[in-house]
Amino acid sequence: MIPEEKVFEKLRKVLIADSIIDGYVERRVYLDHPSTIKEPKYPAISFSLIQSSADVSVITQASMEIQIDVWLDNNKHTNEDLLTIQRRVRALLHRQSLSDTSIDNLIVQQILEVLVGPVMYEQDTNLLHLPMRYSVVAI
Amino acid sequence: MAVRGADVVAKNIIRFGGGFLKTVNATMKRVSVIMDNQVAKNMSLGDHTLKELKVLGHPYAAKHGPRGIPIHDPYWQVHKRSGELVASKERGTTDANLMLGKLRAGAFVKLDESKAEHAKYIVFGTSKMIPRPLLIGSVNQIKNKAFKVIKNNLRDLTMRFVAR
Repeated sequence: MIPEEKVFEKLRKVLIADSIIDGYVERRVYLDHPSTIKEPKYPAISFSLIQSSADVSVITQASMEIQIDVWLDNNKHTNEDLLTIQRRVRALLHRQSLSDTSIDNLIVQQILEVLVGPVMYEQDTNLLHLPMRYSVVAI
Repeated sequence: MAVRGADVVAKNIIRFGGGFLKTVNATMKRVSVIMDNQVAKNMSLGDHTLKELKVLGHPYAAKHGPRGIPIHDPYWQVHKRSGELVASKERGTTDANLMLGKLRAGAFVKLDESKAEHAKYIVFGTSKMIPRPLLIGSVNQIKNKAFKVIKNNLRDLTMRFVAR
């Protein structure tokens, strides 16, 4: 597995194991953007790879920036719910030790929340959307 | 939605004279212009009309994968349409200041959402459209050039570059 795939798998594992996250999205933490998924269900969290670069000296290491999106149904949730999830995701990921031998010996050397985007609303899908960006260095 | 282009950290600040902060500010202004030009270039593509994009199957639709159909390199470049997005672009600097023995200064380019509401949907995506990191991508493209300007003008400084 390439580092990016391992990281996504680990993040999913961490998020679905959390009772607060589970209370909102159950196990719907998608490894891909929702539109690539056949009939995505909401509320959900999804991952996108924004950019990634391999380290020249350590061939298996990659520095990447990922976007974690929270999607909530506007009829059932509020902006405050988005922010509750954002705070919980931060508590679970930001500066945490996420290495995992069970995922192809994944070593996460650094994970940082670098940006929380604006709260957005999509009229056609009636979804509330909050993007978060994380910087990750992993092998 | 701001991009902080550069942070300069000075060690041993005591050895610099009174005109130093002025030089830092002028240097950061040059960096902001470099960033601004790059962002402008990356948001002003004119090679596909809306009709052509439709024929191509809406290349930015996320159904085509995390980077859409690769009609550009880098994939996140943006076409110019009404000019609203370009008009929403602003650049500036954060004045150099000294605190706890460290010098901080910054340059930024941002998109003003009050002038182009769709800017946030382009940068962060929607449930049907991939995110296109126009600002951070542009900053990464000119990082070396900005470093060179800072190094040439502010020798002997320890630099830390932060883009967000």
